[in-house]
Amino acid sequence: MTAVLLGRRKATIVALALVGAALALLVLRFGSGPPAAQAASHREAPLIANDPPADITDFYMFRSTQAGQANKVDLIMDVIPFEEPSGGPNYYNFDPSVAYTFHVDNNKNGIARDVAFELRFTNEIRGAVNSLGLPLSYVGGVPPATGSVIPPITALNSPGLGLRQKYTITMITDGHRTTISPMTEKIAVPSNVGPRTMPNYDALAGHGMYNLGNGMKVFAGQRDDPFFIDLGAAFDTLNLRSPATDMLSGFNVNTIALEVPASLLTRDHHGPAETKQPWLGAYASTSRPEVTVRGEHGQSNSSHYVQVQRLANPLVNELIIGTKDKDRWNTLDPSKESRFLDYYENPRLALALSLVFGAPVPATPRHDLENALLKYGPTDPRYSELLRLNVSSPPGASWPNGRKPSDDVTDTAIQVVGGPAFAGAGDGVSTNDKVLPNVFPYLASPWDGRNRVHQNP
Amino acid sequence: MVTVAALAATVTLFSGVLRGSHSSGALAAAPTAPTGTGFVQTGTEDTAALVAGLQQRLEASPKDAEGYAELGLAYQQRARETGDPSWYPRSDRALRRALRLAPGNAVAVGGLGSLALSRHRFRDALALGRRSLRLGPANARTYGVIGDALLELGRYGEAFRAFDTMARLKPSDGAYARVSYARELLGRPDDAIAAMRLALVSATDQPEATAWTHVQLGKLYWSIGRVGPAARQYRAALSAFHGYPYAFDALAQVQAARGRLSAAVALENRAVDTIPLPQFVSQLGDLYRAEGNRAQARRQYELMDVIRRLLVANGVKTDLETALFDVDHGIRTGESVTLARKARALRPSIDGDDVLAWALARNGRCDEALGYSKRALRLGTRDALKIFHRGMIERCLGHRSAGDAFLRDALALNPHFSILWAPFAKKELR
Amino acid sequence: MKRLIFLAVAVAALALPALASAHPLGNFTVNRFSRVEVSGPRLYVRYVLDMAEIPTFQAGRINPHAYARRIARNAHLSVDDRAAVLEPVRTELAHPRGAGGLRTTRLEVILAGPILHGRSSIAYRDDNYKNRIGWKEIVLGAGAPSTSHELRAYPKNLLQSPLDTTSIVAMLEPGSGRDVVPSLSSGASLQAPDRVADAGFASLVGRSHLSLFVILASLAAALFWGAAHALSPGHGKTIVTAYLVGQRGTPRHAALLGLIVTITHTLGVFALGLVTLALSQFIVPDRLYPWLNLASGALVVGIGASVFWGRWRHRRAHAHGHGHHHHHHGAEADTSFRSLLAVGISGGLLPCPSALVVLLAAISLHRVAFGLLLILAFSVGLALSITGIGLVAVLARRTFRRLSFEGPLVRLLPAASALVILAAGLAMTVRALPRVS
Repeated sequence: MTAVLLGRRKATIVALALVGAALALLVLRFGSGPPAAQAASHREAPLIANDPPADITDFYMFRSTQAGQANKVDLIMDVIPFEEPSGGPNYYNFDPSVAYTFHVDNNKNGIARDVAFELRFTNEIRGAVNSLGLPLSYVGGVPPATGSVIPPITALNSPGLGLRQKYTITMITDGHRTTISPMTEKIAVPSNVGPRTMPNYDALAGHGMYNLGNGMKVFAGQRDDPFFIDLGAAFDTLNLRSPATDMLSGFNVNTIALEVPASLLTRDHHGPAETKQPWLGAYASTSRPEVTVRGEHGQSNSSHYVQVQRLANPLVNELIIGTKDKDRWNTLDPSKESRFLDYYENPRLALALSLVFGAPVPATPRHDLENALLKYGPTDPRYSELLRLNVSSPPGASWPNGRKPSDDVTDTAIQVVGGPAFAGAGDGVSTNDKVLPNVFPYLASPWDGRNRVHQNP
Repeated sequence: MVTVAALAATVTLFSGVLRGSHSSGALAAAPTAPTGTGFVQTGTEDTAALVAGLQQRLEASPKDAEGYAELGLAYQQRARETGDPSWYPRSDRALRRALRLAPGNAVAVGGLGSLALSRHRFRDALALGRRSLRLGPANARTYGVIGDALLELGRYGEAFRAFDTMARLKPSDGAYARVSYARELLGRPDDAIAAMRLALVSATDQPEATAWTHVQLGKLYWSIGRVGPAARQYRAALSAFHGYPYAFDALAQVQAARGRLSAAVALENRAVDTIPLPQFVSQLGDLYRAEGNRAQARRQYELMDVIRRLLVANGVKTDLETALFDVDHGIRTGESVTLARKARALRPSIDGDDVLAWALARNGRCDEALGYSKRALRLGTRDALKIFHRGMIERCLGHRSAGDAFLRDALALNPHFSILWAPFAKKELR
Repeated sequence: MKRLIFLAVAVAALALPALASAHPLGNFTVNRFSRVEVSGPRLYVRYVLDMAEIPTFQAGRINPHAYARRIARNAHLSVDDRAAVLEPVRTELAHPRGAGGLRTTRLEVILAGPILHGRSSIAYRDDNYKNRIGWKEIVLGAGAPSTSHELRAYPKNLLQSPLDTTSIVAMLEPGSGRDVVPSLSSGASLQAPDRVADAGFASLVGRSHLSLFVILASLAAALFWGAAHALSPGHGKTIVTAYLVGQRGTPRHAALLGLIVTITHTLGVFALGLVTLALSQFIVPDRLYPWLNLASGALVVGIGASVFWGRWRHRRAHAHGHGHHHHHHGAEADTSFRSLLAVGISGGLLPCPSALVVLLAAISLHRVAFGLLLILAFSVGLALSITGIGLVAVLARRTFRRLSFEGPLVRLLPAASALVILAAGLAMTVRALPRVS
């Protein structure tokens, strides 16, 4: 199987390598609007619009690997796939109508409603952009010759920061909502426009990292997407190569990173060393307000939200769940996963692997997959699709015991799904285009819009 | 003897500085893909690249049913972005090929459903939507197809339930926009605006969808006479999607309302020059007429006739629009009742009721017209044009004061509801 | 009459699920093609403009030389980074028939560029019709293949999107031969480009068959709709009735009238169809209709006037008191047949547009015989209705006569009916006049 130079990190990569089913999944994930307009006047609203701000690309949960922070757990979700760094003038923002939520189960019942953190954003048009009515989100470093002097954006209150997003964090414990540190103004870090507008982006991003007290930290803003694949080779009927060409290098994502003391999450409120209930199960979700035709006016912005997407383990949303059930799957709570068992027991990924590479895969039904992805252990009677972490394990544990940004989940996924014949599968693109830092928020600084490139490191 | 080296480059029509593509998985698959054709290039690269990626993939694996189904859907999106209806037959063939390869492919069946909607074959659309639902349950998009079809068939209760299901299954700009439309029909413009605003913040990706939503929101403001906010939405649509002809068309209405007819003509001409849709052409004719330019107005009305013949030849049933245009402009008045009756049979919605009522009234059959006008307003829709029609019918029946009340209501709701009829209504009330 | 269109569509749909794409890029595209080539030392651009039905209509009358000059202005050429002038030297214009019998436009222009002195770098950009949807193609070299065969045959492949090339950069070397201006297309290749993109089209028409039942049902429907159509306004009912009443027509006259209407209408449709096909590059049926309207209006006026004149003389003769109550049978029958013919022709002359659409659709589907049959059935239906109305008029008049209402009033009837005919003819003429221009 040395010829199998399959991807790493992300399950989607595998999907792409499997020429057949792969693109269809992506199409569904990233949208191919089928709406239609015609000569006539009946109102044709979009049927599927892409929804990247609600599109979670990755979810991570791990024990902090930063020195002196080992009693903390980090929760990270990435949204908005394939951000082209030069994508102005609006660039990339969180969606004010979306609730971004981390859900945690701490009593091993598979129902992740014990602890939750919800982030909501608001937009503000301000500063020079507002007063001058500029059709841009960000300006800065305008030389005096042009009339008005707008200094570069060096802080989150610089006048050139025209579109600014503030956000709130609410912790929900057993249905009880607590606003975290309401007095601290939290501002999302804008997209990296370029060196004239934002001469020191790292410093700017540093302003967007907030200590919330109680040992909590938060960051919301743009980061480099640790996503890479040799798509061109994959589409050339799997004409893979080494070294491969990463066609997705230089793309960014929007990240929400939250670091909290493990004791806030565990059932018995003890830290990693002391807790008797070290198992956590978690997922990330995006939700939008529920609106009905007959609903009252006030309900237009109701407090009742409908889950648009959920993500726990990589691979599941992209590869295991069949496209026709995806809308329903995304809406449901992970604890209802038993409805989709068939997808786990007869994974199409394994079928595709054996078709494309002719290698034997383990026989179905695949109870090993159920155990790995849906249960706390083989004897756990409840199926719930959660990312599970034993907080007592030493920092640095890898998926499926939690998941860190540097985990090579794709290789793991292929090895698990493909069985023994796929042990050792790997790919030619094995490094991210940027080095992942070992400090909060654990993802690299984003590519800037002016100097972005899309090539191998 | 010639060519030594050649390098052909595709050049986008408008410099594509706005909003680069970022969300299509196929984008990276086909970096050298042709940008396709469209009235605007900006921001449509996504779909163009998606189409190119799918085409490439299908060249390699021609038996890929899902690929053809997705291609069929992508072709429909191209039709939406470019305004070019010739994508529809392509979509039709791609979807049918998908079904030949995989009978019972829910995506392909649903795609044929939305295609039927575009071609105004609402009963077919409903049947296809339901079939798609049986084949692959719980798909929000399918509920959209079903709801749209039910709405045009005048089955409002069922349609609203389908929209609610859609919004519950997957809240999205499309779902919010449909809920907004339903609320508008129910005569709740403020709630409709609230839902459409939600659609707008949710439509953050595709420029076409964003622009569409801006225009719809603008039209909601327009429908209750709020010209300023409407104009702002139309301009926002243009900045989201450069050259968006629907926004030019809507802005032309705004300029006409402000009495700037030559500016309105110029804007409407931009819409028509980009894509000569019948509603643009007829409005341009009306604007020329209002300006007193009879020759140009007649030229546009003649073009309407040409377009109508082409649409019929292309299998698009636009009888409702055709009938309304004919009735409004006194063309073939005698035939228009028959035309409207047939159109209503195909599309028994409140619009069908309204056009038939108006056609009957213009032929002096006001007794009969009244019943249909009442049906047209049975949901309580606050549509100034329909209310105006009702007023004219009441007056025709000799109910002067009732008729005048309706005319006043229409003008109070939206003083500029029609280039043709709003001035007429004002004159009648004087 | 609208229903007949639906019938036509339905019939077409039997053979072809998607009749939809007569033009591969829609009915409002403006398609451009440039071939940059060298002949001897000189650079030439062969430019082809293909406008679909709607832009053709919008363009109105096209002056090929003015168009060529405009095309030259918006086609930018630079040689070795210096702007070069393109001069139109030849043009050729045609209006091939498009969907629904409408015209499309094919304009070919040869643009002469500069003389190349040795190997030169050239850049060519086409800015014509920048914001219009359409196929945009540029090729380099006289022999280079064109994906669309110079906008004659758009690719039939389902997986091909429209091309969108608007500029080209290349190195060119002057040739060794003489400077010969490239030739333009002519004849059939200019007149009838293959606009049909649908690969399945021909095979579907060839493969699927029409069952006997479908044919019979369609014919019956056409007959019925022809009859119904005659009852809609504007089909000479007034004239026919007035004529038969005024001229003391017999049932035989009514039947004859029906026959004449059938024959005239059928021939009219065929003739107009042929004219449309033959003259499609010069005349749009749209523009023909007002003239036909005018012609039938004038004909009716003529009939009305002659009948009135005859009546007038007749009455004066009576007034002179010869007490001669017998009609001049021989002479009267003669006049009556001639004017009968005229009335019939005026009733059938104006072909129903939908009948024309059926014919054109049938021709484009290679189902000419079936189309002719449908039109014949339609015409027969039309005639049956008119004959029926005529018979009712004749019988009604006889009933009145049997009731013996002989008197001055009834004697005035023929003159009055002649006046009605005259008025109807005048109305038709007046209505047709403003559209003829």
